[in-house]
Amino acid sequence: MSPHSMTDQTIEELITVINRGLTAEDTTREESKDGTASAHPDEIQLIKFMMDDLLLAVPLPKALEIGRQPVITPLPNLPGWVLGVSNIRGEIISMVDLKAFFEIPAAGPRRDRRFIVLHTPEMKVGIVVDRILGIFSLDTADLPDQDPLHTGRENDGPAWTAYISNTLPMADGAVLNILDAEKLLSSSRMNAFDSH
Amino acid sequence: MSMNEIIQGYVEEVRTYLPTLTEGLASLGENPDQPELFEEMHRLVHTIKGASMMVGIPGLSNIALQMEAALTDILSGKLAFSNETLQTMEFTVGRFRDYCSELLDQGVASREKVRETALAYRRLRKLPIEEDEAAVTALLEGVPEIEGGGIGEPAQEEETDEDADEDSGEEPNAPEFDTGTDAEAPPPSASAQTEAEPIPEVRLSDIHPELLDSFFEEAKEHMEDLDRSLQTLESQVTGPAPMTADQKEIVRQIRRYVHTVKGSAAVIGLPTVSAWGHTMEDFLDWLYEGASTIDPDILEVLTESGDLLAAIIANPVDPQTPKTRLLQNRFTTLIGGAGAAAPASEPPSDAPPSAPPTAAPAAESVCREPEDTGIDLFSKQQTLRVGSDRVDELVNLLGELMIAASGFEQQMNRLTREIAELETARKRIRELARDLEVGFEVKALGRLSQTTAATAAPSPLGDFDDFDDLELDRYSELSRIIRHLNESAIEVGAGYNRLTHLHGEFDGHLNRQRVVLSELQDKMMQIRMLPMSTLTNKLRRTIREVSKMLGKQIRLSIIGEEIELDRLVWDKITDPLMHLLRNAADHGIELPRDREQAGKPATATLEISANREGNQVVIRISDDGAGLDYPVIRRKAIKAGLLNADEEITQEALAALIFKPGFSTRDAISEVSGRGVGMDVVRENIQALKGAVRVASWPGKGTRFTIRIPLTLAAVRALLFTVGNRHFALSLNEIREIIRVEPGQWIHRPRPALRIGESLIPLYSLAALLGLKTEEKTGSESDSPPIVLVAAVGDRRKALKIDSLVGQQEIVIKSTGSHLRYVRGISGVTILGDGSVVPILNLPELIGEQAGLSAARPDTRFEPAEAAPQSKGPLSVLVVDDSVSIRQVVSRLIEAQGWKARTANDGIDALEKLGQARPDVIVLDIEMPRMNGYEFLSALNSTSEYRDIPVVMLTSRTAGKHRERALSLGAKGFAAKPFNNEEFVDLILKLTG
Repeated sequence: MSPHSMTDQTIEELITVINRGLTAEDTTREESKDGTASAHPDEIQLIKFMMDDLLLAVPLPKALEIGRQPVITPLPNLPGWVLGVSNIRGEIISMVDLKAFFEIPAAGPRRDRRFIVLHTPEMKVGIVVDRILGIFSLDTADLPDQDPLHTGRENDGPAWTAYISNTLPMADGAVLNILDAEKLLSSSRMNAFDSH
Repeated sequence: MSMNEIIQGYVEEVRTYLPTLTEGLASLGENPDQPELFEEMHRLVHTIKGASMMVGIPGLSNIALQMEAALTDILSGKLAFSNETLQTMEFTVGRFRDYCSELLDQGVASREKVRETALAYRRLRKLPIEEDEAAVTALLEGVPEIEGGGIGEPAQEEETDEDADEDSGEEPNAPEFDTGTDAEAPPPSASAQTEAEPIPEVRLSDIHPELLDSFFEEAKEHMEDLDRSLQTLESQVTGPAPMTADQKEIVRQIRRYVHTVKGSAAVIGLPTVSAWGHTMEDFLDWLYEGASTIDPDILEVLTESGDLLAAIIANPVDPQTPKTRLLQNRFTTLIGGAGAAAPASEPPSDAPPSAPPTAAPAAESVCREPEDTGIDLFSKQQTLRVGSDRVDELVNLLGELMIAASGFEQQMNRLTREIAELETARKRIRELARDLEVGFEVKALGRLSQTTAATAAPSPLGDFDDFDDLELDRYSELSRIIRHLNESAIEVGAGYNRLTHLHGEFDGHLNRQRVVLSELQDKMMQIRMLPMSTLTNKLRRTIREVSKMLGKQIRLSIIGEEIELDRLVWDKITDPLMHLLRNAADHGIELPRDREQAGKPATATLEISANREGNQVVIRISDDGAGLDYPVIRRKAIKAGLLNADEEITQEALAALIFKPGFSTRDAISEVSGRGVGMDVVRENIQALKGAVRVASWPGKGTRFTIRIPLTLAAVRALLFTVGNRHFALSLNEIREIIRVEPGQWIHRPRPALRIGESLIPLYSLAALLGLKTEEKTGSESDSPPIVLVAAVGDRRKALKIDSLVGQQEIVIKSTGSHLRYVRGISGVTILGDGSVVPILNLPELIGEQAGLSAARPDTRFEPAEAAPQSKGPLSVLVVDDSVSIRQVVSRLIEAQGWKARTANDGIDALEKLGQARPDVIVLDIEMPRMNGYEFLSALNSTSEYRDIPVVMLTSRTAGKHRERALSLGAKGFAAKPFNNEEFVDLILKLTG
């Protein structure tokens, strides 16, 4: 198998699995049968994704849908990080270039990107990311009580770390940044379009 | 009994005759052959005539006399009951009614009325004109100029309600009532009641049916709430007991419901309802404020009163005087009894003894049919209460249906093209068959003559058999094939005809569907839509009251009363609107003295204007007051912790702070605007409707609030066009003209403009307005004269340059999603049949008519949209292969990615296709007729324009030398047939970046 086909074949399967998981909560229970850990109440599921070499994750319940980046219709008079709007199953959803929103310089244009629709009761926003790695479970007990790297006022990291709720070292040496979808979507920057 | 009381009683008496008279006339108008009805009317009119004279209203008496005389003539057969007679009599009954309603307070201009009536009847009875003067003079003897007036001067009772907005002292069609008692009720001794004033007649035909409908709907809701509250009370009260705080609260609620119903009834002009409501309210006031105990008696009276209110609502024409009188007596007894410190005293003698309250009788009575008393001047239509979510579902489904229909339409267009293709195919077959036939015949003849010549020499019987057999056989076989071919061509032709016919039928069906759909859509809109005018009375009243209270002079002007919105939206937006109005009156507008000092007219202007812009209704509330007080806002914001003391902030951003929770600029809560509802609630309410509110203010000049409410479902006929390779839509009703500009019409200085006829129209480049980079590469377009849309923006014409027209279409306007609630310059988007999203332009905003209106939008830097690398539209791929199935398979794969595929048969064809449009990538086969892949690569390389288009070789030749050759000629990728879909897509993605 070539490296291309590997990622994509699995990605398609993954998307199917995740989308099933988003619509019905059955997947957790099914997985728990063969997995050793039972559906632990303290367990959270996260969608892991990449932007360049940055490893991020967003809690599964915050996502409504994932997939290949759809056709995006750009609209005028919007900041560059709003790519435009897309027709996602008949619903108009805006697409945000998360990398641009985070003001991370783009390494170069990529065509093959993915999107995740995040939601709060008030709104739905599609974020466009480079790659989706999969879905994984995490025992909340393994999470540090407080984000070890950037908390509150002492946060001297880049601006985007304000939207990170926690940081976790991974076995392979990477650092996982857990995205605070709520904070991201309710941020004033994100909400600059309801009139003022 | 004083004279006044006598007259009041008499007026009441006459009033009870009115229904019979009106009804009788109506009935006679339909069938005059009812002598007993004439007699009955004669009797009534006679009574009026006699009694009026007795109580001292000679004018009314004389008017009745005229009608009586005419009726006498009719009864004796001297006068025919003509249409004219009917009208005259109806008019006279109207006069009686005038007396009833005007006699007591302002008085009636009797002499004038008598003269008019007498003359009318004299003409009717064909009495000589010469004697008119004498007759009238005789009649007028003893009749004063004005009869009555000031008789029933009601004792002024100040409204004690906290929201005065429900009452309308100045509403012309809603006279104020102090109590609902009528004159004949025994004057209550020590009660809270005041002098009575008769209830004017209710004329439902005078009330706007829409108002009436919404009143009934509203009243029903309140009555249901009232019933629920009563039931709760009933379940708690089994005997006389001190009232608990909770029970008091319930009483307060009940009073609130009654008060609301009373208020709305007064506003729309149902005095019967408001009168009884008021009486009930008085009782509830006592119960809430004065009474300390509650007992089943009180509850029973309350329940009965509620029922009566429901009954009067159900049939407002009938004031139910006997019942109201009865209940009012019981109110008096109860209040008086409580006053005598004897709660739960014996029930009034004329009321049934109080039974222990059982299941709520009120619940049923609310739904009771209107009682068939009085004149049923209107029949209320059956209404259906359906949850708004259900209607929403229908609306959404309708939207989907319209999108599906437009998808169908597109497919139909394709079908049309395919059928046309079939016809050309048929022609081609026919031609081929003919060619074959002719060619074969010529050949066969030639060979035949040859053979005959050759066989002439040898013996005729020699080898003729084996030769001729073969030749003849083959000849007949071939000619048969040719014949079949011809037949097939005919069959294809017949198939073509059948298809054309079917297509026509489909098209017809589709057209019918389209018509029905648009009708359905209209109806759907109507179900939910109400014009703003249903609200304006309330708004005007609010301003009147508020300005009186504040001692300010305010003129409210309302523009766009015809603008329609979903009735639920109006419901929810009424409070925010009222709040903004009160706020403007209270905070914004200065006192007349201050205004004059500032050089402004003493009377302030407050304007509400509603407008439809694209898929939004925009409501602007502007005043010419002092504007926002920025220093105060700043101080408040710092105090409320919304702002750091040293923070620099623009005025716009400051203005936006007033919408933050917990922000109020006045220290003391003012009676007018500080009702615990802050601007944050206004904003919240509007946002709940997916709308937005903005504020703009000019110190000393005024403040303007702009509310945008998206329409639930809106479909418009729109023009689709392209600018910079992107599709856009614009509502057709905004477009005046579409023209191709000739060079002579272009004007470049002082600014780009067009000369159309005698006028000059400023010309804008839509691409520039939209922040698009115009791609100058497409040289073919610049040759043809540019296309320009002439649009009406405000009251001026503007010309807009576009690239090409796509067509016009019915489109469903959708919002730009829950995130982008408002995008400047865009009024919404639409989804086309193929699923693609097209922005709908908002020209006034794009051209900047409203610049400066928008408050701070900190993060929006109006960057051009192409900052995003993905915004170039779908990838376009040219597939070059001689095999039609390979072309199809590859095209399908490409289209499945949302990209565009075009195909070419061979290298030559591909070069031609390149000239038409430039693809992002080329997929190329090696072996092809006319020009093979290698040759094409070389040709491509030699053209600087195309050299950089990446090429993927797709071939079954996997040998290394083929690959090397291709790569050396400039191919960027290599894929082997059969290919792996994912790998192939990835390869293309990699090459196109």
